[in-house]
Amino acid sequence: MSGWKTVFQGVKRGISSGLFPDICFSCNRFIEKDISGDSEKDPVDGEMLAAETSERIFRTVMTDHLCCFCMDDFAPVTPPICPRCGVQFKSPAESDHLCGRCISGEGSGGGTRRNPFVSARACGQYSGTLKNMIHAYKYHGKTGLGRPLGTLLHIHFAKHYADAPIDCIVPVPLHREKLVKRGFDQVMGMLYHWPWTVAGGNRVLKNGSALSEKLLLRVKNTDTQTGLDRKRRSANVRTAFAVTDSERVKNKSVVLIDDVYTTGATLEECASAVKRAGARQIHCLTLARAM
Amino acid sequence: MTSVAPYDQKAAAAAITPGRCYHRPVIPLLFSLIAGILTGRHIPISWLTPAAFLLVFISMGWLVFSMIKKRPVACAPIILFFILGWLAISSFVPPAFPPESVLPFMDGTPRKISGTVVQPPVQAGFRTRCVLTDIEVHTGGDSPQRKALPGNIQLTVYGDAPDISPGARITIFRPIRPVRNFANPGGFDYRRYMAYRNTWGTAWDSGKRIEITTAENGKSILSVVSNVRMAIDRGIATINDEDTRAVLSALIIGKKDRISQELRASFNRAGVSHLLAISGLHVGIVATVSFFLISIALSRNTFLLKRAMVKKTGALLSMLFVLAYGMIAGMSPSTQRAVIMICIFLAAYVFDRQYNRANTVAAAALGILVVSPQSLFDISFQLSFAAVAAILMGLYWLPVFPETVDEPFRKRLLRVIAGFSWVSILAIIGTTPLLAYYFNQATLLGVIANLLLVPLIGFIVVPLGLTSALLYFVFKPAGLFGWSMADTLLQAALFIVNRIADIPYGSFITVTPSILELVCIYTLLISVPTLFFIRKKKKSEAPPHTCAGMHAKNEGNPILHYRRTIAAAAAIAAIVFAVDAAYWVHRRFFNTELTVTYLDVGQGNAAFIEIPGGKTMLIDGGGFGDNATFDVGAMVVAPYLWRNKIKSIDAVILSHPHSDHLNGLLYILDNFRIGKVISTHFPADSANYRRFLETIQNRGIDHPDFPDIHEESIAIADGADLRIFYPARSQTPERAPANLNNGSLVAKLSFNGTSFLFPGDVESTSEAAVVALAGQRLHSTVMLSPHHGSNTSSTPAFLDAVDPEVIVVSARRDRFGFPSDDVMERYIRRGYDVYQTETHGAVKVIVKDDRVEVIPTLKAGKTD
Repeated sequence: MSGWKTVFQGVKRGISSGLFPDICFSCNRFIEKDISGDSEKDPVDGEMLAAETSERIFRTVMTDHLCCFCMDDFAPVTPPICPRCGVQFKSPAESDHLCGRCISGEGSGGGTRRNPFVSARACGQYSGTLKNMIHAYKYHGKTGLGRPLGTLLHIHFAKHYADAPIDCIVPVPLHREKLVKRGFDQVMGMLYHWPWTVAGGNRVLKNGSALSEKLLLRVKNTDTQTGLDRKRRSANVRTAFAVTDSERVKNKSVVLIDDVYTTGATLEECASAVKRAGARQIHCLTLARAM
Repeated sequence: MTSVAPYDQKAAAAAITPGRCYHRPVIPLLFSLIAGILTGRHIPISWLTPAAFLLVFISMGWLVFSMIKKRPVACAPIILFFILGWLAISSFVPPAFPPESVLPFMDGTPRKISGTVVQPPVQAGFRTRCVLTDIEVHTGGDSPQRKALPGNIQLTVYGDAPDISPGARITIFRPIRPVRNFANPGGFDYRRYMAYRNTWGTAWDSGKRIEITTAENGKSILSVVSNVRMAIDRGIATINDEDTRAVLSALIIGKKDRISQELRASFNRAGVSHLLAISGLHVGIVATVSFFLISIALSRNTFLLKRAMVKKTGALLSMLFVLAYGMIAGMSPSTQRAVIMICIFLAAYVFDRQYNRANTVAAAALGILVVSPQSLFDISFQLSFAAVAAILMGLYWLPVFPETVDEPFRKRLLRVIAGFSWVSILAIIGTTPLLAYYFNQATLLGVIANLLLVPLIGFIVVPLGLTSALLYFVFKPAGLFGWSMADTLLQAALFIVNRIADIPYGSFITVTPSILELVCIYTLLISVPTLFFIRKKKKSEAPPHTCAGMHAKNEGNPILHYRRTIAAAAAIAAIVFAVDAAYWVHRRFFNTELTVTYLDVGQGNAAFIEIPGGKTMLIDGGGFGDNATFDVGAMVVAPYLWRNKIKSIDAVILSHPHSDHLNGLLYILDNFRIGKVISTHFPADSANYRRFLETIQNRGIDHPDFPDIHEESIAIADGADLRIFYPARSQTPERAPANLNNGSLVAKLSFNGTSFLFPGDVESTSEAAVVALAGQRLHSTVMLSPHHGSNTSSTPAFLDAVDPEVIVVSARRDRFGFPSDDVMERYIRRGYDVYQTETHGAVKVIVKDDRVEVIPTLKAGKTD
């Protein structure tokens, strides 16, 4: 890069970070960083990073958004986990195995229903920094977090589904009324920042996975899931979702995207709807997983 | 290709050594720019100065070099901003001002001058004041030529002024006069003040004579805005109540000049005068309300919803509303500030950035100072940033009552009220020293008044008034109805203002703190609470939902590292303040010198006398033809006294009731503790003299009958006495001379063998009478020139009798042409030391033991 370009970029960066200094999105303190090293930053390379640990991915993606203390306060999902629902086991000695709930085939609301999805994965645990960031993003109007969180989600998408080709990427939708109230769709706000290419009116990833934006509809404006127990959550979202066009998922492998996996009730309900429409295989990917 | 560097915890920890990076980057830059401006005010340099050029070159070079080398730019920007501030202010600072090219046109000869009105004119009483730019002087006789002059001229139009609006071209046939100062020690530098506004000359004319050549009627944005403002003004004019109409047009279109003096004084006393100037509060409310409404309106748009752009677009559109309001409100400096500040806040939304309040406020200040460095010396600039800074600091120290989840309404209301009071207490604390410095007023009632009036005026009347203005253009009756509702609410508000202002002892007059004292006070105000509130390991300081535990473990508040420095600063400030206070107590009450100060009041007399032991006297108060034009008492005499920490005067003497002696005293009688008033009681048929007598009566000031004090030696303090020689005891008010000058009171002050004669405006006939009455007893060391050095006075016989060593002429030539050249020559021929307030400024005569020292304010005696 030529010297003048460096100077120009330096001035630009100086003005923007001078007016709006870097402040941690988790704890609202100033981000102290060594200014000598980072005047030139390479764009985040998703494919490279996908091979890294989820902690390293998080650190790289969030450099500009978190102070180093909050960076340390990120909890990755570490093995052993349940290969189906993704829950992390407490004892580190074991190897991955199905959890009791998944073995019994018990749905999140109790009762016996076939597990509608084959796997659920998350970028990190729903605690500490990631939880703060999701709160800032969803509830405190920091919509700008859509880009880094979206990037994080995309890298994890590449990490988890490298070997299992995915046909459709289906965001879990918000009800229209809730959308209007919140002012934005937190899942689409992240997905917009994925590296799509537009082919025939559809957004498609390099490996062929297509975004199926209007596939799922939230037909019931359910109460918020917050504060409800497992049973009530499940009852709350029952038959809340509908598939608009079954042809688009018939015999396809699908990834459902949501922000937080708490009890899995929402995702199970979505998965059931998609399954009924004829999907071959359903995965779930969320930003965070409550443990 | 990215290579993910291994994460090194130690390196990360080293990088965050507290204080290593600028947290709020704009603040150090702002302070260095301010330092540069302050330096430049006293030591002007220009771009052409090689040293300045070199410094800019070096700091720029350093900046570019370290950017290319990717090194920290360290203090290069700080040095650069310092020098830029220095350079920026220098072009406004005398002696380079006024520009040399205009000097030949200020010789007092009338010329045909035209200029374009730049700002909306300000009306006060029977005069309208406006600023003209693009000045052209019509020169040459037969072949008319025009010469363009740089800078601005201030034009005062007396009488019924034709409709003067910005853009109009005005032609007058008058002389241009230089901007003049009253050169009293520490006095307000009007010349510099005008220089900052690029105004070097003044002129006046009657409204009947001025010629408005062209009034611009184009379709430019400015004229559209001006038309809109005028239309709103006409709409508001339908309100019957004069006061509410004036306040409403101040709130909506920023037109303050119709607010009466009394109402303004009430707002000042109640501590809510900031509500009358459109500032951050008003603009902030407009931004909040429009952001809220626009966001609701936009939240139905799917396109924006999907892209998470509802709030961004809302912020962007609110910016337009804020700008529109700013323009409608006349874009006064305080409005500009507020608009810039609010726009930066909204920009944080638009660009999805986190922001820091203090940094944003500093950025607004920086932006304003870059555009106009002279704003640093604007009172309103200083007041608004002092208030904002105090609020931010206070909330940092003590964020009262943090929000809790699901709190009941009553608790929430309580929290809002408490927060609100805290904010207004902070704003009052932050501005009180400055208010004392500029307006000699401090108020205790501001907290209550703000608590009631800010919600009423700010949150209800302003939005209502603005909405009505919008409606007015759509459907007139709706707008008018809205305004009539605003009128009713404002009447309630004004009722509250007046009730609060009437509370006795609610506000009080303060003496003027010096700059040193201001620095000490602000240092203490910042450092003491910082030391008190920011201590080690304060758990409550941690944000509620975060990884704060880690912060507490590792660093704590970075300010803790500077505790010692802050404590040292506090200690130094406290010591300096105590020494300063001791100095003033000594100077005021334990002085051993007699000081007579002949103040520079322009045309007129005012002499202030300080007697050993702390007694004070004021002989005449100066004055212009009309106090509505310029109140010498309020603008010159009282500020001088307050600067010298004087709030009480033991004796006020009026030589005779002419405007240039009397008018300045009215303000003094109203605002100082007065022991007694001494005058001849000779009647004068003027409104001001009647007010003088009324004030004395209303305030119960001792005003002894003249015969009782005539020839009596009024012992004032040990060794000092005052003796009145004239008029004669027999000359009762009924036998007062037709010419008031000849009824002037003639008094002589003696102290330790040195004496001062104050002959008022005696003319030749009464001079002879004085000599006949007092003879050789008139002999004095220092004499005030009788009748301002007019050739009606200073007869040889009188001068023989007084035979002074020093003579002081208190006059200015532009009103009556005093002093006369003949008389001045007479003085010099007789070998007197002559001092003129016009050229020397205030003349101070100090008598210590038997030494007499004369100290003119302007040493070289040249016109400044």
